[in-house]
Amino acid sequence: MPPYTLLIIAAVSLIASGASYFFAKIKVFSLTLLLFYASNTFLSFLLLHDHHIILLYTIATLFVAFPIICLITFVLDRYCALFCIDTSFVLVIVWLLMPSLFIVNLLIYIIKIIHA
Amino acid sequence: MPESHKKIFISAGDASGDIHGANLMRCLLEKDQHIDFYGLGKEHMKQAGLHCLHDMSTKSLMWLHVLAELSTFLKIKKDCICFFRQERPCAVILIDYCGFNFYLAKAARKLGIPVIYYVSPQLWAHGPWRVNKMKKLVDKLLVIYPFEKPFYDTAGISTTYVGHPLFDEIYKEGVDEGVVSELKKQLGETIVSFLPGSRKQEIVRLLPLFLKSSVQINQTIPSARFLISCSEEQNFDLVNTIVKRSTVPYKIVIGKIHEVIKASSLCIASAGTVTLQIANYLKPMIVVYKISPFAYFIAKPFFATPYIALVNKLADKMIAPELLMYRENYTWLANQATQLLCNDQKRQNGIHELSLLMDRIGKPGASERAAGEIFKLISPA
Repeated sequence: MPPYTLLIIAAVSLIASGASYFFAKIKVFSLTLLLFYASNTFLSFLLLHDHHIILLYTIATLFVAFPIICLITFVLDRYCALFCIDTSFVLVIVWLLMPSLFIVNLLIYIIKIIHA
Repeated sequence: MPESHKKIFISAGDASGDIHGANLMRCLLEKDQHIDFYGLGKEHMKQAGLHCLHDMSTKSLMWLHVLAELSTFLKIKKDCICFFRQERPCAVILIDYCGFNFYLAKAARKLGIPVIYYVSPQLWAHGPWRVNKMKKLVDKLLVIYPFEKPFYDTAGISTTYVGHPLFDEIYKEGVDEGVVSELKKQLGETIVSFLPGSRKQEIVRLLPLFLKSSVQINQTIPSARFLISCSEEQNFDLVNTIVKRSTVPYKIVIGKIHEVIKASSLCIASAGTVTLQIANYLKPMIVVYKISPFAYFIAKPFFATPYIALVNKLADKMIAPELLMYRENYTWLANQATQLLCNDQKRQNGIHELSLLMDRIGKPGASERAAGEIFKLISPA
C-alpha cells in the first residue's frame, strides 16, 4: 500500500476517532482507534524501517505502545477499580500523543518526498 | 479508674473539608468527651482538638502540584499507615479530597479499620464508574445531597443522607446586616455581584469574562453597580490586577460572602457550593464555568449530568441559567443578566424555585446527623 494512502487513512481515522470519542460512541471509537494505530504503525514502518530503525522503535514506543498501555490501564481501572487514583487523566496523554503521531509521520513523509 | 479514650483518625485536605471536619469533631465530642482525634487537617480542625499528624494548609492536589509534592504526600501516607498500625483507631473518617483520601481508605480497609467517608467526591457528575472504587474502599458513606443516596445505594454502598454542612455554617455565622446596608448605601439598589470562586485558576478564567459582560450590562442598565467577592485575602492582588484593566468601576469585597450575596440583586457565580449559598438567600443567579476547548473535548464523554450548577442538579431542572463555556461567551452572560434584572416575571419565577429548593434541603444539622451516624458505628451495641 503506498504511503500517501496510509496517510489519508490515518487522517480520516484520527478525525473519526475524535468525533466518536466526543460523542461517546465507544464501539466506533474503538474501531477508528484501531485503524488509526494500525495505519500509522504501518506507515512508520514503511518510511523508517530501511534506514532509521532506532527512530522507528522510538516512535513505536512513545507514540504507539505508551498510549495504548495508557488506554488499556484506563479501561481496566474503569471496569475493575484497580487504582485509588482517578486514571481518566491518561486520556489527556492519549489525546496529546495521537495527533502528534500523525504529525510526526506526515513530517517524515514530507521530508522523504523532498529528499527523493 | 479513668474511662478509656476512643481514637478516631480524621482527614481533610481542603479548606471547606477543614471547616466541615471541625464541626463534625465538635458534634462527636458533644456525644462523647472521651474521643481523641488524630489525623490530617488545617486550622479549624486543630482548633477543634485535632492532634495533627500533618498540617494540610499548603498541600494542593491540583495537577502538576501533586508531582511537585509527591514525596511529601508519600511521607504523609506512610505516617498515617504507621499510625493505623500502632494505634488502631476505632474508625477512619475521610472528608472529600478523594485524590489522597482514597489511599488512606485502602490502607485502613486492609487493616480492618472501618472507613467512613463524609462529603463524597462528585462521582455522579463526572466519572460515575469510580463508584466501584468507593465500594471497595468505604464501609459507610455520609452524603450531603439527597440525589447522592440512590446513586450510591444502587452501587451497594451503605449510604446515609445527612444534609449539607454548609447550612450549619450559614446559621452559625449569620449575616452582618450593617455591612449589607452599607453596601446598598454605597452602590444603590441594583447590585450585580461576581463570585468567581476561590481558586486562582478559576479567578483567572472567569473574572475577565465577568468584567466583559459587565460592560454590556452597564450599557443596558446604567444604574447597575458591580461587586466582586474575593473569598480569600491572598487572592486580592490577583483580583485587583484583573479589575484594573476594566473600564467599569467595581468594588472588591474580601470575605463577607454572605453579605455580598444578600446585598445583591443578581449573582454571577462559578459552579460550585457557592450556588447553594446564593440559593439560601433566594437571590437570582447565573452560573458559569469555563474550561479550555481541549479540556472540554477530553471531559465531554464523561459528563454524567446535564447540569453544571448544583442548584439545577438538586432541582433536576434549570432554575438558574447556566453555561459551561470553552470560549468567552460574555454576550450570553450579559443577556441573561439583563433579563434577570429587567424581567420581573422571570426573576420571581427563579426566586420561587429557589425557595422550593431551600425548603427541601436548606436545613442545618448535617454535622449533628453525621456525628450521630458515626457514633452508631463506633459505639458497641
